Amino acid sequence: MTLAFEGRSNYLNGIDAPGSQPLLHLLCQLGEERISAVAMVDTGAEWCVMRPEIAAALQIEAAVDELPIALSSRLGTYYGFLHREPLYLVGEGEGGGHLRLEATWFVSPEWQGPLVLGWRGCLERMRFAIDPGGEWFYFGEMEGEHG
Amino acid sequence: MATVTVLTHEAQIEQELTRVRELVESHLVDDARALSRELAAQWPDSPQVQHWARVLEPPKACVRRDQPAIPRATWEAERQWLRANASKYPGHWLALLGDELIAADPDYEKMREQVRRRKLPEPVVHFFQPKSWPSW
Repeated sequence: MTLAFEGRSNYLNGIDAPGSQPLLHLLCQLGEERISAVAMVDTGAEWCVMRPEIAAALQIEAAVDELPIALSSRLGTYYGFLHREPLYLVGEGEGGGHLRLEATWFVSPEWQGPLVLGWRGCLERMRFAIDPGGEWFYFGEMEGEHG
Repeated sequence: MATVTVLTHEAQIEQELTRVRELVESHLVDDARALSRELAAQWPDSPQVQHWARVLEPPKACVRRDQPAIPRATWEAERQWLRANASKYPGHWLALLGDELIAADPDYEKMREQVRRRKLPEPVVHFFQPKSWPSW
């Protein structure tokens, strides 16, 4: 069985304090401004979660009449709103592509955790694979789709 | 005598969007998506309804090779620096260009201002190092 991927990026593993859990971090870019930031990939997170500072930099605000929704997370319950904002995964190496996706982000002014790439509105719509040997994150379009 | 309550369009929309919100909060996202699609077809002129349909619609990923996302072919230098040094800056936003730390500040805007003052030719990589990692 052969799966094809159009791009790959080296991920960061173990940049946190020694003894903590292994976490997978990817360089990505957000918004049309292409703010470069390192995000944690978490297939168990329901949504992508944006740091409030990045949301402010991208001038993302809730609509005036929008009621907040509650997101229960490992860090507790947070109130915020869902927002669509482009996400770019940065490909490395010759011939490698980069991936663009209109991701859905949960934005909360109180969020204290990392920038998270979650399942809904993001990881569920791309083909990806992890190679722990070389610390590569492979990514590509889903079969039969071209954005 | 039976009482009939007639809801205005706005009240109907609000009621339906409350259902969408409840479905999302209950992790029933597929149901929320189906409902928001129905509502979007029913109320094409409602910005709130269209907003919910848009944020819940599964996106499409698109791979491009034409515009390099970063000028260099790799961000290995930044990665090496972060591995070795990020934990020394708990609670800080870091800005890196290659293996050079351009700015470090707990305040995101102050960090960006330091970067702007340097007038750098390439986009820097931003990284937030939490004070402590949660038990994830």
